[in-house]
Amino acid sequence: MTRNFSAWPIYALLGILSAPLAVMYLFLVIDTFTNAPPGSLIPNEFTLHHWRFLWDASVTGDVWGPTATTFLFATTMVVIVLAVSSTAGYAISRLNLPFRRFFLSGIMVMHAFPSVTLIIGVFLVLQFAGLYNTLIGVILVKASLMLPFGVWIMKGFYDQVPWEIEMAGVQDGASRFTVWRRLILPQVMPGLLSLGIFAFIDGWSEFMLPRILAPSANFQVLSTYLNVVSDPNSTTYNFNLFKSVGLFYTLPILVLFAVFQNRLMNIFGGGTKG
Amino acid sequence: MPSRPTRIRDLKLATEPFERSILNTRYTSRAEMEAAITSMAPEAPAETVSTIAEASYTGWRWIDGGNFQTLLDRPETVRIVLNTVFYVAATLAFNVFVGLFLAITTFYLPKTGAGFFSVLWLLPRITPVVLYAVMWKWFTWDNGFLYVIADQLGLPFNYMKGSVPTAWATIILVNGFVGASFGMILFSGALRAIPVQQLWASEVDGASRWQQIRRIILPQLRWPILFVTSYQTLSLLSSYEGIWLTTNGGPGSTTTVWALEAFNTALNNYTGNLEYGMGAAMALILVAVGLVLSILYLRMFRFDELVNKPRIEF
Repeated sequence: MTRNFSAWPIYALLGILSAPLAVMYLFLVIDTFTNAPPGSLIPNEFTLHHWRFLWDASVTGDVWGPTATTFLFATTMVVIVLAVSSTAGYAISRLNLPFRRFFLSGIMVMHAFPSVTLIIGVFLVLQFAGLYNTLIGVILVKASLMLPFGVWIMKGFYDQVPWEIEMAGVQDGASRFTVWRRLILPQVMPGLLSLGIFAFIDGWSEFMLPRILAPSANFQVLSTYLNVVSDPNSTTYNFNLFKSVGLFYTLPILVLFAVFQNRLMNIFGGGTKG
Repeated sequence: MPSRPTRIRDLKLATEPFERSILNTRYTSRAEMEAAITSMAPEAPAETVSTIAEASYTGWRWIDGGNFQTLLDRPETVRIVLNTVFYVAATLAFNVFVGLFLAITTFYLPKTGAGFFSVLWLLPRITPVVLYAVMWKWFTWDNGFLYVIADQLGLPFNYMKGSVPTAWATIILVNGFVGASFGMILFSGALRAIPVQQLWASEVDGASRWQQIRRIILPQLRWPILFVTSYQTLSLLSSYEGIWLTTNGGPGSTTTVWALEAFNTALNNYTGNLEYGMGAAMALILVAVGLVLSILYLRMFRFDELVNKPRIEF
């Protein structure tokens, strides 16, 4: 296309619109390494003081325990989501399932309608089952709330695998399971990988469920940890410290995003956040 | 508790003695409790005793839709509904227009510039909501970014929860900046699907960029725009964590939306007076609204095309 327009007014408009975001993320990084004099934003000294929470548990409490729990939480959830979505997605995309239409529309409604609204009911069920305030309970709930999205995404990937591959397998005498396991699954590996990364990021970020369903449990995940630490009305009021903890918490996600950005794009298109 | 039993079974067994106590106490039936109260305070009139028994009952009880009646009667209900409508409409407008703007501008800009802006707008989507809220607090709190800027320019400053307009602006922007990237991604995909020959042809005919956008791009984005609008209406109706972590519905209850109120009623009451039933009733209304909207959308977006019949019949 020709350049029959000048780009700078557009850059200026985009710049103004994006300014809050740019400022927030810029200072998120800068503020963790520097101090600024009161009443100013320009830093005047370099310091690692704000990162002392990593080795000094007296600042904000132990950070490594919550990190391990968060990792456990996210990976377990990924395993459950991948196991169920890869099979359920196939069934809904390919098998002659009774009530297939009903399942699919149900999944779509659940997908479009964020399940956080169901939290009150989920809370009562967990309490009844004795899983309230336990890590297992939160993982199960998080994984099942993620499933409509996962199944939906995997169905999309299975839909794109040509029927001919499957028919060739069946023709050669393989069972439907073998066809799925040996022929179809390798075809949707990219989808499985993207879904896994997305689910990991989602699990790592999860805040509402641990906060609501395990408020007084003896474990903490990083999101609830950060929320407790970073209360502006607290005695440790210091946004530089809050941001350091926050950046530490978000670093794995940023790395994953940087590495797998292109793979994630097709998943974000069906994202779950408003 | 350090000696708390770890097995759920043990825990359930251990809770049994706690289910009955005396004036900090549980009774298995109403009559027993009334008897206990009368023995403790014999002078109390029977009416008071029954009121106490009524109010101290904490189990489930069939109330014939009384929660919905209460909702209808409460004056705050109208306020919360209006808040919700305003919140959804304003955030939705921000999401769709900014998403459209971002998609179209990044479509026309050279790759490096476009890439920078799309990554910048994707960041809020992957940033954990707690950190995102911390960043917004820093941006809008006392001694935060806006405060310092306003101070240096000599402008008046009100922090996030200091006034109703700032609180509204904060929650709309907090959710808008996350939501805009959803529109951006979908619209960008749809833009790339437009045959580029149409754009070339229009340029040969001397169309300006604005005419291209107005006459070629926007008409072809009709379905994606409709989809983003409907999808985000649903998500905004029931999303409240952004509001909860920033203004928490304040100042007062001026920015409280329906989903947040349901959540607070059932699970997050400061005084500990949790009304599960009431909260669930409010959530149920939201679920009903969501279901009706979803079914409408499923019709609109031709659901049938998604369910092709399987070609192998076993």
